[in-house]
Amino acid sequence: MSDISFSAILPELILCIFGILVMVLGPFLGRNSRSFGGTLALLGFATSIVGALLVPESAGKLFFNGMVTTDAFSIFFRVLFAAIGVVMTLGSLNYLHRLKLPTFEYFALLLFASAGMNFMVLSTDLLLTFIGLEILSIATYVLAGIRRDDAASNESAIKYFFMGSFSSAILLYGVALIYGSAHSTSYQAILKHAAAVNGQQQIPLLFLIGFGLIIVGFCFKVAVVPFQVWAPDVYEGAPTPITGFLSVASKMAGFAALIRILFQVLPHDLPQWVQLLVVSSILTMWIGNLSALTQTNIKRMLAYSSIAHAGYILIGIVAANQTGITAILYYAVAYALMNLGAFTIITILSGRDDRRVTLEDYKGIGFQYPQLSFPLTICLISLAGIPTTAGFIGKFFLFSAAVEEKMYLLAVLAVLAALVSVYYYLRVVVYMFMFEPDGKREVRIHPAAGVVVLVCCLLIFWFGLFPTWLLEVSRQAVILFLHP
Amino acid sequence: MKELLIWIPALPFIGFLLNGIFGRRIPKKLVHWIACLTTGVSFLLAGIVFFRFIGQPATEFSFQYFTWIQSGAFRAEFGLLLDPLSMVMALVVCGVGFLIHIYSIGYMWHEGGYYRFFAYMNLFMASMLMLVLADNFLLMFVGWEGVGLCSYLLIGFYFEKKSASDAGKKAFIVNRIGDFGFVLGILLIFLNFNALGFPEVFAQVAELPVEAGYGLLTAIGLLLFVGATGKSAQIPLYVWLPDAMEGPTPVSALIHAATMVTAGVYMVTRTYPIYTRAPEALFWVALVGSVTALFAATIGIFQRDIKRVLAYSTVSQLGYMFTALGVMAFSAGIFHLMTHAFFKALLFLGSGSVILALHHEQDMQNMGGLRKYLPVTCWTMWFGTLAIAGVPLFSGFFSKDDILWQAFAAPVPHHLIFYILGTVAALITAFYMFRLMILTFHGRTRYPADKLDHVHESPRTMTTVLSVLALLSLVGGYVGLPAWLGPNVFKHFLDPVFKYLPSEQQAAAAHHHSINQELMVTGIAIAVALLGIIVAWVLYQRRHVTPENESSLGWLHRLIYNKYYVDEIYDATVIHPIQRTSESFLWKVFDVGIIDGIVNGYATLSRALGIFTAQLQNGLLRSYLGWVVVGSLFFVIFILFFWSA
Repeated sequence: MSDISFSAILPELILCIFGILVMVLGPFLGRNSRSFGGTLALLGFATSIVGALLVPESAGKLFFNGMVTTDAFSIFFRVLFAAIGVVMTLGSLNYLHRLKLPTFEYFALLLFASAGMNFMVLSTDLLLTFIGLEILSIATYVLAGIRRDDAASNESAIKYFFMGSFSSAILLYGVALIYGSAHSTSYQAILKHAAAVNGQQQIPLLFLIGFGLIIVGFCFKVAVVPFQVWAPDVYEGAPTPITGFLSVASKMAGFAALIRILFQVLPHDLPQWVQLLVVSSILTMWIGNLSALTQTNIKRMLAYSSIAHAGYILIGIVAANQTGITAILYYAVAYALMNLGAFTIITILSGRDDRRVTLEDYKGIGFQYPQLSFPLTICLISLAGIPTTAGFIGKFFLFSAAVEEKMYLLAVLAVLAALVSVYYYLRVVVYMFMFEPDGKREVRIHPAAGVVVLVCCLLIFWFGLFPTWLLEVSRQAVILFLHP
Repeated sequence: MKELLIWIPALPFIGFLLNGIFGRRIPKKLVHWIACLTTGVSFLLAGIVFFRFIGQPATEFSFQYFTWIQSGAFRAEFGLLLDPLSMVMALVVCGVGFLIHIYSIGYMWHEGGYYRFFAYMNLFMASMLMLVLADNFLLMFVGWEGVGLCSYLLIGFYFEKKSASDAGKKAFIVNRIGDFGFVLGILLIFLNFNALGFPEVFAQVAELPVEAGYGLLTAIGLLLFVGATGKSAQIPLYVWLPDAMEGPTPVSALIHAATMVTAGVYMVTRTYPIYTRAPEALFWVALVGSVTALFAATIGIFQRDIKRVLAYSTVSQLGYMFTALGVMAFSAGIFHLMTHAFFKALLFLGSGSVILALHHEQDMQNMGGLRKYLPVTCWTMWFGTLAIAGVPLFSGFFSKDDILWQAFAAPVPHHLIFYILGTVAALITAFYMFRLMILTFHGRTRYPADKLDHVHESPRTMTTVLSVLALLSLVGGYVGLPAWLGPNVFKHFLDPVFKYLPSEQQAAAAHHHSINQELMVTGIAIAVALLGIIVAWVLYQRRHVTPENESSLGWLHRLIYNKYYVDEIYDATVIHPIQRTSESFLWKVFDVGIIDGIVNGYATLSRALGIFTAQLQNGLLRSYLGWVVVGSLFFVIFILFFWSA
């Protein structure tokens, strides 16, 4: 066929090739060359950024029999995911060494997970989207349980696997129902079908139920109420860097795919999903933030925090205007910076057995390790949405998108929920700076992780003080979703 | 020029970052090298830009660097404006700033917090240059607040001393009052002209007629002037400046004499299109300026602290500048700003040299006859004194004479009042400056004899700077000669700035006065200066009056020495009532009861809910799966329900 273009999926090819390379070369090199896997992964992610930037951007043209698009939206997320990959690689190098974890498997899975996420955002076909989701999910099931000798890690992986499989089944069932109704899985064909039946006032039950189930599937992936229950347990038990990855990357991939389906597959005069997601958004923000208040384990606290952040992002989706969707993309970057920054620091501090993650462990480290406590403070105040940080600008535009659509109640509830969150973010800061340390502890900061932390903090301020560039890029990337 | 211009404020800022971050760890010598080099190169760049600028036929350049803020329709550029006015200001700030940086090496060498001092000074330079080079109100405001911050930090530099940290707070709070007016003025401008850039706003203002009474432009002008009275220490907000002398002396010289306090003068001049169309606002500018000039000068008469005399003198001289602006003699005001920067910086630095030599003795009662011990300080300070007293041939003579003549001949109502107030103030100025010099350097030595051995001249870095400033105080005035003597190069250079003068004013300005009248005004100015000098001479040199036996004047001395009790009056009428209300109502009733009640209630409620929601999470896989099933059903039913509705 003429529309087969390998340059359209260049970054994914790169990721897969590097993933295979890491896997194949690993056994030959053995344990002596641990940093080799990391180097190769780093190279793969970096090349993938370049590859994503080289992809010829075209909004109208589809490739691979209408399954693949190369619009600005997909390129935005492909670059973001590869960049997250770079951050993950640098941030977890030392962690893997410290815990003597298998590096080759880890990095190969990370590369495959990243490829899966890319397929989720570039796909214009439900089947390909589903396959992308599965590639991501299966890789992350294993990553969550990569500490085989650790009970918590095993519990996390098992729970994630069961819950994930269950929701995948629901999603797949939704796809099947849609196929039954529209006789196609391609976004374009479904849109045509929906527009046609909508004109006749008679929407088939199959289509509606199928559609509802697909939304359920993605809501599970991004962990919004009522499908958030798995997240705290899984996040708490997973290895710390993987918790960061789950809370940032796989969540963003889910949102990107959800946005594409909501805005590209449904005709825009069928907005009934809005009320549903408004309710979900409010509950997500409140349950996430309220539950985080009482947590004493930082990973678990950030798990609830990441649930709350999914609620904020939903505001941008339900507002469905330019400000809202632009803000989501901006927020994706900001959230990645502050959450990955925080998790990288938590990883560094997590100790020999990845157990030093309770608030008690953070007592008094403020002046002991200022090079870690100050960046962590920056990440946390950005998560809390305090001005001059990127987190503030993102929240500001998300909330103002709701105001633009006259959803005042939603905006007010969002601001109040964000207010609650300040408490638990600052509590960590209080523990760090206002308590006496419990004694000396050994903390080694690997230069690679140090660079990650530094760059994250600088960019948090940079995008917080000069948001124009990133907002403009985000706006360009979402133009295709805005109906005239 | 565009590339060069941005470095003028950027270099000191880099110096601030370097010293601020690494200052504690690097040797002291490197600290002052960084600070002086960055300001020095800034000055050099300002010089280069100046020569390129006068080589160009155009007289106004607006350079846009990047979009600073964009939010909906609102847009603020990061842009710099280069025209004769900003050029003069940049040269004065960089030049005097550079000299004072060098002086500070010697003055601050033995003080703690050396790097902190230079970091703040560099930040000040960057902010001040931002203020004078900005091409819109918003960016100017950033500089305006930046210099305010540095002023606060540097006044409270010796923060272990309670009086110093109190003085810092006082300066900051009083300035906040002024800034409030300034911000309201900017908002009013934005609301009515929908722009903040100087070129855009002034082009629109130029279309408006001169207001007959109190209108929009008058309101803007008065609000901006409230800001100016705060920053430039005019009645009623002047009270912070004398207390600001708690800061190190180079700070007093740079910030509280030569540059920052003139920001208000610059701002009013910059917004002349507004003021010239609002005669009522101008009247207030001139009135406040001339009354302040006289009022502050009288307080200066009986102060004993050498720096306080100079502080009140600064307030008084700033009053002169505002008088000039109020009678629309803008270039005369800026001219006096420049000469004042030279001689007042010189006087402050000279007093600093004395203070350093006497181990932080500031009371003139304990000085006298220091001429023998501090020869360079003595003769350079005489140059400054002759300049400020308005003795012919010195710079202050030309600029002050220009202001008095413009006030005399101005085409505005009540101008003779301003002229008379200014002339009387000139008499007093000459008097208190000669009093200061005689009490310090001449007559009998009242410093304890056993400590006199330790009194010696300041290091070379300091005396060199004093000499350079002395030279500038002598020759600085020759760029602005009066009409009967020669061309006024300074006014000619500044003239292109004032292209938006209303036509009525242009016609009035073109009206010629006779040379005789001008000579008469000059003659009177010289005569009053001489009178003041002679009285001071007779009292302090011939009759050996000292600050201690001045008190024989009784109630008059007490009234003036206590600064007309203005601080006490403010305390009783403003500060005390506010404190009372804050404490007994706002704090104990409103804050503790209502605000804290709401906040604590919210927190308690959140926590209770949080415990509940967290318990939904029981860790059992089967209940989680149950959740998913219930949730899915809910979603599907919800969608079906709404779709059919």
